[in-house]
Amino acid sequence: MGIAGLETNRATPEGPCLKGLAYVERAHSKQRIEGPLRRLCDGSFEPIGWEAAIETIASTLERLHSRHGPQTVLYYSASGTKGLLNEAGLAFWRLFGGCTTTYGDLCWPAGLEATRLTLGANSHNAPWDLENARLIVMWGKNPAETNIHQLPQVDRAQSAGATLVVIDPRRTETAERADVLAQLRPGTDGALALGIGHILVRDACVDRDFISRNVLGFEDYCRLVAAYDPQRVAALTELPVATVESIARLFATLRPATIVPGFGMQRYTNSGQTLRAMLALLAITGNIGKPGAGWMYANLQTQIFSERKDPLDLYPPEDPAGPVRVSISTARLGRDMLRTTEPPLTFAWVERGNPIPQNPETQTVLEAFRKLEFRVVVEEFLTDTAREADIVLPAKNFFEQTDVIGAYWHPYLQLRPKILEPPPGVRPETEIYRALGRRLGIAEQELAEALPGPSEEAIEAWLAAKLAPFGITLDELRKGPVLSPEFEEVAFAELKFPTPSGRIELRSEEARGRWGQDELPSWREAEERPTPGGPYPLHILTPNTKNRIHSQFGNLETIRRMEPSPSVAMHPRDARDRNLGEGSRARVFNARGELRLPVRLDWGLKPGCIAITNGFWLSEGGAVNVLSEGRETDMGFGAAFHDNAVQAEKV
Amino acid sequence: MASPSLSGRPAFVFAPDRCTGCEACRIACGIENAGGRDTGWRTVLTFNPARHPALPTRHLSLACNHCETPACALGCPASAYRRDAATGALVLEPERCIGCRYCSWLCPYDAPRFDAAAGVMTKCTFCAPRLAGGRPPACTEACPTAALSIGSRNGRSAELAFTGLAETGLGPALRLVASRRQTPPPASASQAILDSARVQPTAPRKITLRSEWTLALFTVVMPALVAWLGSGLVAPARAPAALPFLGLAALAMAVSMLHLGRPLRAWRALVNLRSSWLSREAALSALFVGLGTGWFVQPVVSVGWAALVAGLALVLSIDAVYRAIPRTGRSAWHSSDVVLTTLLLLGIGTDTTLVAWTAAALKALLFAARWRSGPFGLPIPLAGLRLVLLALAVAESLGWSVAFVLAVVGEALDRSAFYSELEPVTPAAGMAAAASRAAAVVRS
Repeated sequence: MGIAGLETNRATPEGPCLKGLAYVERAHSKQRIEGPLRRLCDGSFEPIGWEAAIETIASTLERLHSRHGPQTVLYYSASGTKGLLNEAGLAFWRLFGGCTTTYGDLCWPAGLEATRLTLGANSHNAPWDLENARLIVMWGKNPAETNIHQLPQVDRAQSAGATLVVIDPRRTETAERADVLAQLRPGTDGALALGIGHILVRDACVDRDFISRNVLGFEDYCRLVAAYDPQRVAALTELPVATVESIARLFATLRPATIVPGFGMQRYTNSGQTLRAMLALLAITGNIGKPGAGWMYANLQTQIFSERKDPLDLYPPEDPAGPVRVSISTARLGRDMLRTTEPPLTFAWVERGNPIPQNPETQTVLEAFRKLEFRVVVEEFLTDTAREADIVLPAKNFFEQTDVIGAYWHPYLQLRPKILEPPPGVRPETEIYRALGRRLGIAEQELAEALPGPSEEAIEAWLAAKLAPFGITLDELRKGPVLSPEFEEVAFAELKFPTPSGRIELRSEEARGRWGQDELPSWREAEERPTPGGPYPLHILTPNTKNRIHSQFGNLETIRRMEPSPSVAMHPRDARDRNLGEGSRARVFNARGELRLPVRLDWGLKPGCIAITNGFWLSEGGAVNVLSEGRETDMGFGAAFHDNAVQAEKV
Repeated sequence: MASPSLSGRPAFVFAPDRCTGCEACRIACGIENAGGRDTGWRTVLTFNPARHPALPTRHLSLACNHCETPACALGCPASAYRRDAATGALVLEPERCIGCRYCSWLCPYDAPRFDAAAGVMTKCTFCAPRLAGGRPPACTEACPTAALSIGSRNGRSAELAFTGLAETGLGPALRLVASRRQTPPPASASQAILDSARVQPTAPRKITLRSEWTLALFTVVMPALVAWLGSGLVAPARAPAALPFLGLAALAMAVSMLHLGRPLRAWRALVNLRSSWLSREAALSALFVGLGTGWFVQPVVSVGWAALVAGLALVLSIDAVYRAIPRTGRSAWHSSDVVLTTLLLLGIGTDTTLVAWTAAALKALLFAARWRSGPFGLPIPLAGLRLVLLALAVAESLGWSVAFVLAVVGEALDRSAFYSELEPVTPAAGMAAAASRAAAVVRS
């Protein structure tokens, strides 16, 4: 068995990354859960049959439903696997009578909202258009590790003479290719953006014509950036003045310019405003709606199946009444679960997610989960969350059920055909729900309407019905990736912006009205930050690596060879100050928790910043969220993981 | 082994500018060649992994380079390698391999690896079946940035200092693409004093005394037996008795067979007399012991001298086996070289003072040269003891047998140091050396 690339996807003709290749091991991993499991008193698990599992779950649900009502159930799902069939989950819980669920998102809604407020929509040029840029700014973004398919595009752009700027507190693998590397203080990206804007305005290097036709609020913007002179910005960001000036000079002289913002940088309490300030630079230099130019943050051209696109469909509904109580902020999962009443939560159903290590404030999330009466987790492997379950149900992998997927970078819809039979004890979620629904006494007719399948033909018919309104057939998808009906090679090429004013809004009333933020993209410090000389003088970064997707893949043997166990990367100066050397054992801690890890020296870090890569499990002593606090971003209900200050000491 | 012209055959092409060190190549090799169960035959090395600000951080992906003049195949005593003419791939045939690991010492690219479970070597096959069918090797197909691709052996290969890959004369099917970027990104982070020990982790040792003690034993006992027999030819009273001679010979040969992954195939070590010093050493061992046994059975003088000649050829071949190993930095001449040991012991055993003192002087000189050139394989007290024993052995104040035994003990000490100091060229060691050189340039 092997995996090969599909050249007809113009964004990813090279084929899968190392994690995609590791799927060959993953699909047959010895660690895979292949039947329902029940937790015993000592915390270990024993296999039970499906009938017993369904019976136990259903009778518990009936009991809790009758005592508290259906909203005592927390239905938690995340982005573990994507596909149209995922909507079966909520459809089932509506049949159950309702449930409680989350709003917001761990991933990227602050940036989505910042973009929506400014441009009106989250759409960007086709990925391969990056080759046309003369200036590429990887701002908090590390495609060499986290978007490998973008790297050949950068390579081609550089071969054609483009300049690459990397703005990142770390010297990353991407930074090795940069012409300019600005290692700024974390959380000050907004100040840098305003500082660059200041210089562009000062030197009259803005595109006046573009602004007059397409931008709202430029005069106010000029007043805002007046206070961000290079000296002040250099002091705030801890960059040399020359670096700030040189980046501004590049924006002034190189067109077209593309900014590629990273999602990690977008997870602070000031991120929404930060991203608005960054996007403003493209607006004032006329770098929107042209080939080689733009804001490559999110491309939701394939999100055609939902009525409202992200981020709006991640927000609580305007009318809170209804069977589904959307009341728990993903960022504050633990605290919101604990404070939920009328009815309180007594049951959790988790699928496609791993909230215990991956949501902020692990201790609180654990406490909240342990306070429940019953937990069901649908999972492939015995993750930290699965270990908290009373019953674990085996999850399919994506080779085992046909589905249709979009993307959030490239513009293709793709078919994900079933190519493997699941192991005998594994059922896809649609069948789990059907069995559960039957046992709960839900009418067969209702189940058939809500849940696609069970046969292949039924699944395909269901998918075909979803695709039909767009004139796309499964046969077309079988031949290869299909461009979304909303595909635009150059986003906003017609310079039509679905904002209230129809223009790019540097000044947004909705920023104030909906979020209580400044109408303009002003900057303030993140709520939590290190205090030099104080109890927590280090900033902890928790970047993603090429080896994992969050908490997935890290348990595979072929991945373990590269990064077998967690460690903490420190600048040699910070290490020496604490009597730590390569391999020393350090205790990294703050008021919320601690991790004990070996030190790896890394000159590439900005002194004062330490890094522990995201995705290690609690059971291996590396869950970074024991250190984070459950805070929301300034807009979008995102999770501000990185407002996080720590101290480290020798153990 | 004569290889036909490989002009136009495939070669790996590697562009370091494009490599991110992701190891998709390694994972793809494991999928193609081990069903995803094993890690495959490719290794990715990183230069300056700690990102010292004065140096760039680069990666190098290596498997087997299917060299035109393959040191592994030429040195393999069992002729276990064969060339696939159509693709130019150099393929190991596991049924022919005896698991002696000599090829892994001869290869500067670390390509052949010992498969402990199977007792034989294993190595990149160039995905020869894929190549024959017009498809590129799995690793090159999997590389997501086109850093690793397949091209032709014809064409130039750039010199890239960070790789530490020396010109080996082996004609590897590996072409490096010139780098656009030789310097680190201009960063605003602080400068630091460059400490070369921190820039690159030290490379793991390929050879240790613990792993090779059986060979140390063999290469001490055989010279002693040759000298003992030689002494007995000149002075019959000093000749060895059959039992101790055969007993020690059997012990040395049995113990060295333990070194093999497939001891029952040991006879295959005689197959490649044409180009392998190891094969010749095996054959000459058999000849020496055979003729020596014949001399005990039928003490004909000519048989005895023939045995001595075979024994001298044997010790020459033993040194040749080790001299063929490419080394990092240290000299190919060592004070424990078995020819010198044999001459020393012969001099003692035949009371030929000139020979004994010349051999001892050469050993002392080589010993001193090692002292200056790098880490010493013996702790100081044992090194001192070795010199004392050598001096006592040639001092002429002790009886010949006592002197002989003291000399053997001293040589045993020094020979054990030989294995501790033996550093075959490896890519990791080469990269560490490159880091030292780069650090020196920056410091100056």
